[in-house]
Amino acid sequence: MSVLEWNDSFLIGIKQFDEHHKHLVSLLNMTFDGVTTNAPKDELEAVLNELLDYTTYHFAAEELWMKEHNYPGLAIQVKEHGEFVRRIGEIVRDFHSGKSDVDLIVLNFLTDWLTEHILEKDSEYGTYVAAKGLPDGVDLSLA
Amino acid sequence: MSIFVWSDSFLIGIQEVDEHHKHLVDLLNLSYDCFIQNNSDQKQELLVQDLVRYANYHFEAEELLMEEGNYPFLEEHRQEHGRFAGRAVELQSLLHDGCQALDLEIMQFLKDWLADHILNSDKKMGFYLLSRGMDR
Repeated sequence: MSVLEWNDSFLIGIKQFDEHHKHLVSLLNMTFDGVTTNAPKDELEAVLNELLDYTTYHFAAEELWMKEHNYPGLAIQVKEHGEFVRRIGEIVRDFHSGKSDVDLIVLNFLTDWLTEHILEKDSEYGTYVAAKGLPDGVDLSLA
Repeated sequence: MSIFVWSDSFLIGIQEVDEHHKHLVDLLNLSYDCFIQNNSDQKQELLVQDLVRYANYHFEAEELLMEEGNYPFLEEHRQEHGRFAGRAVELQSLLHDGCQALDLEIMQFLKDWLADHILNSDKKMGFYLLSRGMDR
């Protein structure tokens, strides 16, 4: 089951970042599966850690790309990314320490944030790229 | 007791930096213990001094790595370090003058700053440096 179905309106037109976004959606769906099937704590924690790690990786790649191309919306992106990572970080830590559970409210927050961020903020840099004819993404792959 | 529970989600993948971070978390937890146990002002001051000194040492090491790697966000990162260092100096002088003792708000600030800084800024730096083969 999915909490968020990928559809092509999410495409922003930069191949690397579109792939990142698809992977984020699939990690979010894995989290949803873990919650709804009552997966063991360590399994759900592993998925949450992967979601946090991949999110930070993806944001780093986007921000570096924006920096390299003098994208004017960089500051607002850094701010939104920072707030989101802070929130996921709290969710992961609170789950790890047993302070709180991951529930539908948390999942809804993640889903809504990701959807809105891709459709509104990320589509803007997609348009910027198209207008300027800039190259795809930035290579942060590990050797 | 710990105010900052370490978990591997804080690892950035550069060994030297990860060890520094773990040590910073230990120092923060020691200061927190001291606060909880209501130790003497002098002891609180010494522990905060250790924490601040180590933080500054660590910031310098990170900034050097970023310089070596031509990290594009070096300036922004340096400014974040500077803001923390400024706040820390202020705290130290308040503790020293006896104007203030450690309180939960300060402990919370230090913890939130560190957690946030590692997850946002240091991870970003880590991905960049690792992708350029700097993994010491």
